[in-house]
Amino acid sequence: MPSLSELQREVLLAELGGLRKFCYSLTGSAADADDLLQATVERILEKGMPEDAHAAKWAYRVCRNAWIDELRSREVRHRYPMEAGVDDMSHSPSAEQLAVGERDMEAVAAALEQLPVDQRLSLTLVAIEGKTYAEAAEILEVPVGTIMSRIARARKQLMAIIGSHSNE
Amino acid sequence: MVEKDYELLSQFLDGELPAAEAQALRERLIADPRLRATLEEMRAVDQRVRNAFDIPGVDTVPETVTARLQGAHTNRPASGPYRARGLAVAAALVAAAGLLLAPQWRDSSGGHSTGTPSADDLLAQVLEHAPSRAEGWEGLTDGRQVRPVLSFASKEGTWCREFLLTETGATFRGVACRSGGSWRTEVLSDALRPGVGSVYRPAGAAGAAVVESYINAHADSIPLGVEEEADLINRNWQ
Repeated sequence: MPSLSELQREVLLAELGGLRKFCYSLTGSAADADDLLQATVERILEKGMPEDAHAAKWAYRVCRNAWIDELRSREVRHRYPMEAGVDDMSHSPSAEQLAVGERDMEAVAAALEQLPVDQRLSLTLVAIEGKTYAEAAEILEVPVGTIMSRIARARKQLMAIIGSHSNE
Repeated sequence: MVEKDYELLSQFLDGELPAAEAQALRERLIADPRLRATLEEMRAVDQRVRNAFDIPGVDTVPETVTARLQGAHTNRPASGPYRARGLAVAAALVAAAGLLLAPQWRDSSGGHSTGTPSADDLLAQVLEHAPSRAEGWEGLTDGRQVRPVLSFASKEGTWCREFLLTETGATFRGVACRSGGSWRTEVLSDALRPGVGSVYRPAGAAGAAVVESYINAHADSIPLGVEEEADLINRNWQ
C-alpha cells in the first residue's frame, strides 16, 4: 500500500497552509479550495510518493493535476448544464451584495480565468505563492525558460484585461 | 513594445533577471518613459492579483484535511464533489462487467461483416458521425438510444468520446476510443439517466465516477470545443 515517510508527512503538514492558498488562488472560491485541497491530500495518500521526492513540490504537482481534472469537469458542466442539473448562478451573490474588495477579487479571478491554464498556473505559483522560476519549473515539469515566457504572456494579457489602460 | 520587453520587465519584477541584464534594463527605464510606465502598470496589476488572494483565512486548512493526513489510515470523509471519486474502485467492478456488453465496436465502413449491421456497428456509427449534445438521443434501429456527451484527445494519441447509452430501461455511461478506424469501448458503467428521478445526483457520483476517473487518467487536455469536434467528424476523425 502506498505510504508516506514520516518526514514527508511532516513536510506536507507544514505546507498545507500554502497549498490551501494555492488552491484558493486557482479556484477563487473557499469551498472549491477546500475540496481541491482535500482531493490533493487524498491522491497523495492513495498513490504515495517516491521516497526521494520533495514532499512540498510533489504536493503542488498533485494539486495542479487535480485542478486540471476539475477544469475538465467544469468544462463539461458548462457545456452541458442540463446534465449537471445545477444552476450554479442561483447561488451566486449579486454584484450589489459584494463588498468592494470582493468585487475586485471577482474581477481578478475572472481575468485569471481567461488565461490559458499553463499561464495561470505559472503566474499563480510565482506571483501569488512566491515561488522562484526554478521551483515553479520543477512543480510544473517544464524548463525555466518556459515559466518565464508564460508569466510574461500572462501579465501582458492581465494588463489588457484589468490594467489601467484596459477598456473596462 | 516588443514581446521581449514584456519578458524582461516580468523577469525584472520577479527578481529573476541576471544582474547585468537588470542593470541594462534600469538604464533603459530611465531613458524610456513608455517602458517605465509599462513596468509600473505590470507591477500594479501584480499587486492587485496578490491583494485579491491575500485575505484572512486563505491559508486556513480544514481540520478534516489535517486529520486525514495525520491519521492516514482512518476512513475517508464521504461527501463533496472530489470525495465522490472514492467510489471509483467499487464502480470499477461495474465497468469491468460493462466491457462485456460492448467489447468491440467496428467502424461500419471498415468492418468485414456483411448484411444487417450488428448492435455494436450501430453504436459505432453514432460515435463516428453524431456531435455531442446536452439533450436528446440518437435512436438506434434496435431500440436503444445513444447520446455522445463529449470528445477528447487521449494521451495515447487516439480520439475518445464519452457517451450515454440506454437499453431496456437501464442507462450506461461509457468512453470509447477510436483506433485503426474502429471504436472500442474502454470503460462502461451504470449511470442515472439525466432528467429521470426526483433526486439530483451530482456528476461523478456512483457509476459515473469510474468514467470520470478514466477521463482524468487518459485525457490529454480539456474536451474538444464544438467547432473542433465538428471539424473532426467532417474529417472522419483523421
